[in-house]
Amino acid sequence: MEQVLVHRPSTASSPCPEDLARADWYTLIGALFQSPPDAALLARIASAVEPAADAQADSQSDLAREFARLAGACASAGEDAVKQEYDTVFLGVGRPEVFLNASYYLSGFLHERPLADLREELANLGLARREEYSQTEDQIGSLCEVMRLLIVDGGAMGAGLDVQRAFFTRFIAPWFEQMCDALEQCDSTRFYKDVGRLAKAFFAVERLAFDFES
Amino acid sequence: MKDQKTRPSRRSFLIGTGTAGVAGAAAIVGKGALKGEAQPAAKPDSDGRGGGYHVTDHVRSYYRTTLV
Repeated sequence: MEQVLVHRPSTASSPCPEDLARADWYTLIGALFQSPPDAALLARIASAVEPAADAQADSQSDLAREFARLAGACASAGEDAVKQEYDTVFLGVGRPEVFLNASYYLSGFLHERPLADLREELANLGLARREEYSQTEDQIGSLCEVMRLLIVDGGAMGAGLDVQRAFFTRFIAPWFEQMCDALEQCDSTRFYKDVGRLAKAFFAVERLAFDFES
Repeated sequence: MKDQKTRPSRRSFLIGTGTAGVAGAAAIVGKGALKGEAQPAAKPDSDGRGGGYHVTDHVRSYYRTTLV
């Protein structure tokens, strides 16, 4: 396939601070979905929000409020309990209680056409999955990582905001709310209810922010 | 391709929604500390990036010729 992107001149400037902040959110949310957080990460999230933030909840944005809520959850969550929840909900024997894959929400099944479409798009972008990486490309954590790469390395890849928008609109926007709502409604989720709320708040901001350039 | 600059309105929106602010993911992710701990399976490739993806050879050669 013609790799159009790689022939583009690298004209994009370095990401602005706000875009780097977006990349950090994708990194954090993606990491929480790729694997259960260890004790060190739980502690770091817990300490990232000052306790006083709770008192100002009314004036906070949805994202800040959900982040404060997750930080509170991290302060009391145990590494083992979170791992057990992750395994139960996402890696359950037979059928996971909540799916994290685009293909499931877009087609009703795993490994369907949406995954093939995604792989084609990743090839166009010049991205390939590492062999040792176990998640499929359409898992939300993997998709977050692609977004991070497009933001941080987009200039070198010839991928500007338009490419980010197209990728997000096609592969995340149509289904993230369903996934987050499923996390909210699942009987087995506790910690991941908060992760889902944070993800929903962040992706909602992303969807709106992309409209500014449309 | 057009070089799409981030307009002030979009940047303001991102700040107002808490995407970019004092407390946020940047406080956790900063300095690249997260990648190594949260994604133990990921190893940086020759370009120094971690995570589950790497750029394919075709693109990597592009990096070398334009960025080095």
